Amino acid sequence: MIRNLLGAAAALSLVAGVATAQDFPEREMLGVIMWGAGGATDVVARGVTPAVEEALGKPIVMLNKAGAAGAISVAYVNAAPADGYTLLYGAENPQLHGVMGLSELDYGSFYPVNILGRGVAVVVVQADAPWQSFKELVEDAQARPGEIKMASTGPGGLPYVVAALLNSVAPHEVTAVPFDGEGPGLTALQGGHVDFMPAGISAAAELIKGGQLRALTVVNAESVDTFPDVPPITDEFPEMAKYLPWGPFYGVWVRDETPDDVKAKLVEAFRAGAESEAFQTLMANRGNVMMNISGDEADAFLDNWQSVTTWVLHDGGATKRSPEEFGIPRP
Amino acid sequence: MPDQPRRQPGELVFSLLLLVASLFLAWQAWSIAGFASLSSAGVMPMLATGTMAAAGLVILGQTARRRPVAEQGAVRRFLAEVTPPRLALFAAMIVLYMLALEPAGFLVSSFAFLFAGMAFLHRRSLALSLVVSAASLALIWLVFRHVFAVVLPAGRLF
Amino acid sequence: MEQTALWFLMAWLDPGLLLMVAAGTFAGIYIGAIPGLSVTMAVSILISFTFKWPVDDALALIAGIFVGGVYGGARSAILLNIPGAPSAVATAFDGYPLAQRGEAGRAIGVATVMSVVGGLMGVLALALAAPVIARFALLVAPRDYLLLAMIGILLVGSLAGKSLARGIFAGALGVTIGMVGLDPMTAEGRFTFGSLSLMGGIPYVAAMIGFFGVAEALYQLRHLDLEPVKQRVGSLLPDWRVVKKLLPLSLRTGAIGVVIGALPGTGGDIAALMAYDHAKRTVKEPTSPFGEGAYEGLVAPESANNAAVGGAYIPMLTLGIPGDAVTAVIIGALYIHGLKPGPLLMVETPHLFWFTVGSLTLANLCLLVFGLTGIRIFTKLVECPKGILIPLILVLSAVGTYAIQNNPVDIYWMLGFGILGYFMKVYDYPVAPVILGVILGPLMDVSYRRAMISARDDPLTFASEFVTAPISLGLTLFLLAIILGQTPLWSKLRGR
Repeated sequence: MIRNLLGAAAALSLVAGVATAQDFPEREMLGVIMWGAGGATDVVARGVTPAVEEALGKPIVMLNKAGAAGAISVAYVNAAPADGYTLLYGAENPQLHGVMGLSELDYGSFYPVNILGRGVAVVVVQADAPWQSFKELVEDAQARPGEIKMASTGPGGLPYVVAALLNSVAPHEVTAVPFDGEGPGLTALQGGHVDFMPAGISAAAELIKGGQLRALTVVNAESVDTFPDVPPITDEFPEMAKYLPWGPFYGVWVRDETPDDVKAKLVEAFRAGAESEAFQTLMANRGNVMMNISGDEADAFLDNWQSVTTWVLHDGGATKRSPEEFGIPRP
Repeated sequence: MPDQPRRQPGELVFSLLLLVASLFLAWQAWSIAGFASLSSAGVMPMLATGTMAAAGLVILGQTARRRPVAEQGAVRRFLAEVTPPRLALFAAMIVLYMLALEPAGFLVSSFAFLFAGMAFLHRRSLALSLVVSAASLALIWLVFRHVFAVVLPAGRLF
Repeated sequence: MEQTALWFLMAWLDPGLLLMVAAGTFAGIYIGAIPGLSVTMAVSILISFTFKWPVDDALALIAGIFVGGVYGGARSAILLNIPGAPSAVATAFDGYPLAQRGEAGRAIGVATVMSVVGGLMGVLALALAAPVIARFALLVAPRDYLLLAMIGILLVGSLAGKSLARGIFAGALGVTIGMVGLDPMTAEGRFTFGSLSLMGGIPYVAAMIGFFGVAEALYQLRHLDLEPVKQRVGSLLPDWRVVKKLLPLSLRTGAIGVVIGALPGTGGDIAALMAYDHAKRTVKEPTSPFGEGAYEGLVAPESANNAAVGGAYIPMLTLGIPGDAVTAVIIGALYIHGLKPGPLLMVETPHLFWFTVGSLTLANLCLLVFGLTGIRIFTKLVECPKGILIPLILVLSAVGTYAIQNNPVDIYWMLGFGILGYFMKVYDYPVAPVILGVILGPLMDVSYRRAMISARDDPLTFASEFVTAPISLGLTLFLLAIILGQTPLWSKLRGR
């Protein structure tokens, strides 16, 4: 009996699948943003959506569902029907949820509709700080272990991971003071309550241009367009090259079980949205690197990112569970 | 102490329950990080729940010393004064409503609750209850669902 | 100079922009009055909505909604004892008793005028002293936030009513509720019992609606048959003598609002609580005792939270740092409109600063007009039979709580808090300290730990920093003075 019912349900969903594929989308969609209003993810999500709505012909209702570093949104979208009507706007965080002991769900259960872009990290200090290069700062930290204060955003956040990556290349010790996000961390840095901060260029760019802060290095293999004069980290720490490119990323996902033609329609719409001029300007203004990739290409990127980051964190003793438990291969 | 307030029926039990809950929460707070460091995640929870437990103990002592309003029939008085039938019934309706929100959907459950609630509490004109429920619900739906795009529980019917 | 004046008057002279500000203010009042609908939410929605508009139109609309929304929370606080927004929590303390006395109309009138006074002070500070205040805000260290939160939490003492122990219990309960969820600093679960729905924490609006709205509705069921209080609605404008008497307090608390609003870690809710605290401490002869319908207790939070609007714009426009949750969303909106908020914003788009100052001024004048009209209809709400009002309040509470993050679990929390709050009211436990704890607890937690981590967990370094930095020393002395002032020893000494 139950089997019959399940069979019927499966058949129905197939029929439904065909129907949605032809006319998708028939009604408004729901876009779940895993971080709060005004954050980096939120701005990227709301920036790309108007052009996507135009391409799809139906509105996307945006909903900020922050909490548990994005795990709440991931679980919410995972529980919604796999019909393509519920989109997950997210950042890199779920790829670390497993090893951080937050949740078993990561992007492995989702289909990447579009990874819109990635951010590049930059190490900033106060404009009048004594260090002229990042190497000087690291050497100072080695000479006075724990005395230099770094603004962080909690375990698994960007400053934390950059520090862990560097630590595996050049062991040093700083005191990490956690803030609620990059913005509050940079604010504390300007007030002199901490000494330096590795932050996304998107958050720091205007402060650097305005002369409040000074960039010591970009965490990238080559210098970036936004700040051509700031040296890449590989100049002083060539061994960092093996981890790069590394940075936060932003994208849109749907459940993996979504019908293929619905996925295709979404991919097409988001590609058009990402190519829109307004969105390109937005990303450039925030110093993000456009990626605009989807499907297998995006999956490969996600897997590589997860493997590099989780293992470095694990080797640094910063994880609750080993990446091995989740079958994440060593890079 | 002539101006000491009298003890309400059920007050002693309530203070005892609060104390037990505080102690349980204090134990939970301790299990977050123990006394690992001065800046651990558990410091403020322990401080807060510890304060709750200490204050709860003082309150229990004060309450126990107060003279009850009446020596006899505390249970009967509790039912009559603290949870009178009308209040208990209405509270049950609220609980039912909130449980029904998801399975029955916002519109159906809210309309049923509004109408039943007004009919039960107001008891004058059923027609007025019907009109007010429908009109206010329509307004709420319009503002929340359409202007603010809040995705209200849809339920199976609507 | 002439250019500045032109920029300032942009929103006044262009009929389209004028309409935006006016419509925004009007809508904002109702958004603010409905619990669960917040200015943050409205502004986020507007971002998608105004995407194709010129940025000035969008900013004019947002300025109106911001000013109206912060004020609107007072209406439901006064009329129903449900603060429409967290910044109106302190307004309910004395506003609701006033409505119960039949003075709802007069209370709303006074609240409106004093909101506008506070709001204009905020704008004035923004126009004249933005760079100085922004610099100062940067210097406020984590330990200073801890001191501010502690000064605020001392308000428990004055909100406690008859029994201090019960007030302290309620305050600590609030702090505990604020701790639920994943720790923002280490991502460790606190009181989550392994449940994902608890990891996101309990939104404080759920606690606010539960302890105030639902508990009050249940409590009133005990006296359902009492005739609703007849509201005396006299002249719409409050008596000039009353205004004159309250004006100095309004200016003082407006100043508190500007500074607290400009600090990146605090917003209008905390500003209003600190202003109430200040009023209670400094006003020796209020119109009625505090908590029983003192106009001073109404004026202080209302001036402060509207002044905090101008305050919040200060670091946003000068440094690109949000002063509160709403300005954080506005920064996002600026990016989407192709601007680059930051220290260079005023250089790259010079008109933006004076245009914002102009729209905010205009919005405050609109507030005066809209706030003083429609009072009669609003006060009728209190005269509505309770049998009809109470079910409506509950539905609105449920949908408002749900709207915060579309989580049905929040509704169960709200209901649970409502029932607990009912018993607390019956047994003479004050509920206001709970909300105080929920709002200030998380700030205390993170700023204490940030300060302690910065001192590398060394208690001596930690303690010494409180007296070495000038701002910290000032706040520490202030805190000590308050504590000493509240202890019986001091009053005894003064009595001699």
